[in-house]
Amino acid sequence: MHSLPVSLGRKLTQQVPQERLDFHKWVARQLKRSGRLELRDPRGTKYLNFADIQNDAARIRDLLLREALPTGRTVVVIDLLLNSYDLLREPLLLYLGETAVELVGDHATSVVILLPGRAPGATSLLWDAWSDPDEPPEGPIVVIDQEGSVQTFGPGIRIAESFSRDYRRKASRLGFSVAEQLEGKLLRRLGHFDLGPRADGTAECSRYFFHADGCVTELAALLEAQLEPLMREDRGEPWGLVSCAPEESWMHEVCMLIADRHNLPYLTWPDVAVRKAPSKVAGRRLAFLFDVVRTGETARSILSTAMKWSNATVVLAFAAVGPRQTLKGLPPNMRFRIAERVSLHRASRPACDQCQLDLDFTPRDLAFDPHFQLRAYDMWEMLLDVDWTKEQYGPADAALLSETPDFDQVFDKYGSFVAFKYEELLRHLQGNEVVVVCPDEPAVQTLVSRLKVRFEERLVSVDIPRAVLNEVSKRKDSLNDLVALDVNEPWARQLRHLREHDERVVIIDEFNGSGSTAKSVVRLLEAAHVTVEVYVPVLDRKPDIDLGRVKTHPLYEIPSPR
Amino acid sequence: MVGQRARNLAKGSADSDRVLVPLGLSGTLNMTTTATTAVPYEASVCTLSGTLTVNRIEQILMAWRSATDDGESLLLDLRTTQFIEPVALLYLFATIVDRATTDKGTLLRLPERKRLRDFLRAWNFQGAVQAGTHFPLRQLVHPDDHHYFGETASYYTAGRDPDLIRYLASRRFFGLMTHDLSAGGGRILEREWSRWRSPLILQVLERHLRGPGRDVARVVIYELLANAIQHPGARSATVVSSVYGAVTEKGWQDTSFTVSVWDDGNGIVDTLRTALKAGGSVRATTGAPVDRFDVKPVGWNPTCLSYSSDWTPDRESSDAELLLASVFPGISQKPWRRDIPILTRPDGESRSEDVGHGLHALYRSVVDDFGGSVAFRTGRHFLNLKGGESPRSYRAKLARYVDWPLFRGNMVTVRVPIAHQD
Repeated sequence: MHSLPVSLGRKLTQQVPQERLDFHKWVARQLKRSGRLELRDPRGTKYLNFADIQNDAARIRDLLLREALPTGRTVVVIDLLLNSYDLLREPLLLYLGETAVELVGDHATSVVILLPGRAPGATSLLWDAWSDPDEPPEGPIVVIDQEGSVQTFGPGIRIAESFSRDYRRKASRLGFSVAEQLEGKLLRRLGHFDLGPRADGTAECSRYFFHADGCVTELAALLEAQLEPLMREDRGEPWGLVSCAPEESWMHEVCMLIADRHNLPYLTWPDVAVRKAPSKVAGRRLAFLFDVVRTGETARSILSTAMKWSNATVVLAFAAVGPRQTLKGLPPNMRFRIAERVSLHRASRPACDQCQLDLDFTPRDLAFDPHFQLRAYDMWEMLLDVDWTKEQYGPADAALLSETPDFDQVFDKYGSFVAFKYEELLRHLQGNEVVVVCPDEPAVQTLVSRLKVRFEERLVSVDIPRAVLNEVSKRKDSLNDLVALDVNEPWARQLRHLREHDERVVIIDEFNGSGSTAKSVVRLLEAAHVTVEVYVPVLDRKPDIDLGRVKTHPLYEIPSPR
Repeated sequence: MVGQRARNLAKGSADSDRVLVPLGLSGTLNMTTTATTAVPYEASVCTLSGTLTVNRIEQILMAWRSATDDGESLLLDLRTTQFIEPVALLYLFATIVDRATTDKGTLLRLPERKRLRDFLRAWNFQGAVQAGTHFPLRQLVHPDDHHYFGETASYYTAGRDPDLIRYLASRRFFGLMTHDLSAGGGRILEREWSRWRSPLILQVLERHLRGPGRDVARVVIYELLANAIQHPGARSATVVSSVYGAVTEKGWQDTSFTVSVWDDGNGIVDTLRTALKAGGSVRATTGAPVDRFDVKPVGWNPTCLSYSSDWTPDRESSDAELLLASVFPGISQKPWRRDIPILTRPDGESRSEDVGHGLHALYRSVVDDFGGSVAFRTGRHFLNLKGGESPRSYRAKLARYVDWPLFRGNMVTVRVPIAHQD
């Protein structure tokens, strides 16, 4: 069988993880119950970037048909699940349909098309290729959408009744989970934020500020997951929502979204505490929504007031962000759910360190920082907040450091913020479709994962194994054999694609200690004739390295080489 | 004194009034002249009263044009306007931008009705005029109406617990959004398409439209913009939309979702005509299932009243026929364009001919999935596509307006019914 995953809106092919291949095999097995099903390695996704979809959508036909046409009975699985539904441009679907018809033309092939979201309606051009009743397809074409609903065309094919449910379950396990999406997208930004005066007049500063504009969908999904079982339990009892988030904030949008979806009244917590529930939500079971709960003081105060209402019942409190510690003193018999637990810090002036250091306030809105760098105060907080250990891996030709910050922990605790700083720079350089090259090492991979979420997976990484980089650093001669046409490693194939399409890359890394890794990556890319925009380590400990034509732009510099 | 006289002169009908442009107001959008004029000059008044639809504005402008000399300065008097349909606002905007780039003086009197001034604010009139003409709105507005700037809006604000539509309107989501195409058409397409993927607008569309709300970004917005950006010479594309506000023959109705895009490039008809004159065919592909169009002609005589989508126009075809054919699957000017990048494949094969499906996909979705209509206004022509009696058949009102003002660029409007009222 053939597995043909397609990635849209991306500038490079990417590796197909085994779990996805297993999933394709499972799908194919449902159609071809008996006989062998040997899976041909797709060797990366077929891809079209945004401009291709716009100007040359027919290209998908070439990409899919270029695979040697199979002989004998076989199944071809065309997987579009890696993409957002909105990228399925109609002309693209037209050519996809034509491709399917061509593939089944040999009377021995079945084609399965896996679509994201719900299948497009009857007027979609996808169905045009086989809509002529006088010319039905010569083999089975099966279209399955993300909800598991199946449509079959051409010669009959039997699908088990349990298929839809099983499909939905298996498909949902692929890719990033809602929790992983939230983790990447919910930005805990470091800086010096003016929280303004409190009710008692004292002014407050915060070390962190949360931005969740990009994850309204994920937060709404998490809230719904809490609400729906409760609403089902109640069997028809009316519900209402109370938003305790600032107006026009992302949590407020989550509230409006859920309210609209489920036809629930909602209101904003009144400025002045009231003894009874306002008429809009009177007689209802209530969910209280908070954006960021820090000490819990405000939440406690609001909830205790509301719990005393005689004409409404508080059942659930939901916060997008809350402290790692358990909140004390909350009213009993009430569920409190927090989507994302983080360490929080707040100080009232004049106790704030940053005020004492006379550091400017960070503007709240997410305008790009024109310098694309980290402040010293922020970098050092991150570095000092993690363990410093002996370096576990690094270039073979330089001493490993005896004490170095554990970047795995840095990216675990501050991953969304570091990813955000990279995102600023990458969008500035490459727009929404990005290609990065990095060493295939654990810490960087954590960072790249977060970045992929922030780019809705339209960022593709080329992960170079450490062994290859070590090999490069040993060699003084030509590296052509490492990047020759017959080298079938995924990264080598990716580099060939980059050269073919003349796409530029950004090199990212946790830190530059001796310049050795950077030089090896640059040499390798040069041998592969791939152009580098810039080398961007999080931390540069050897700022004077010479990478030839490649510029370095670290997020932070501390001259302290190996 | 000058201001008072201008006010006196501004009453009355559209075709004979002159107004003295007050001192200190240039009234011209030409940046090379001085910011203020030393000598007062006259502008001719065009009164736009009552409910403004695109049709009405065109009729009034036509009357104005026939009563004035070419190159005269125009004062658009909106003081007695009661409603402006959002697409009419786009038309007005297009008129202002057209006059700006052809160096014709234009002035505005703003509505007396507060709600309408708030509408202009919420629909981003000020931002769009600034972006489209590179000139602040203030310089176009009569000093007597300058209280507009700095006024507090009372309508179209979110309020304390708004519904989603009011919230989006207050954030100017539906307002005039002008995109500068020098940033690259592809980027603009992506930017506008992204806007319509946000969870809030998706929820509004999914809930209120008869068809699949999730297809608005994927098909409607995408194809509207993809079409606009590829017209030769297009420097900007402006989008306007609304949920609820629309006008039909019966008058003002609150029943649709409307989105309209205006680009200032060459007209669709001219573009195809150029390709035909160059000796080429405008048919890029064949083989699509055939759609039938029953034509209601206005102002021209067709050879027949029914066209099918596998018909290919040639040099003898009329402009109206070219406009209709532009939406057929496989009809495109792309094979004859030198400036659109044809991506060559690594295998050397270029596939420039597999094009021409965008507008086809658009009307299929809008008419068949959503039960709506698509209208095209360009040059002297107008086309409106609606559903027909049977599947794959459509009704096309196809008009040629000899006397009407030549509409610059292309305006494509999608109107889709709301499934239920709230």
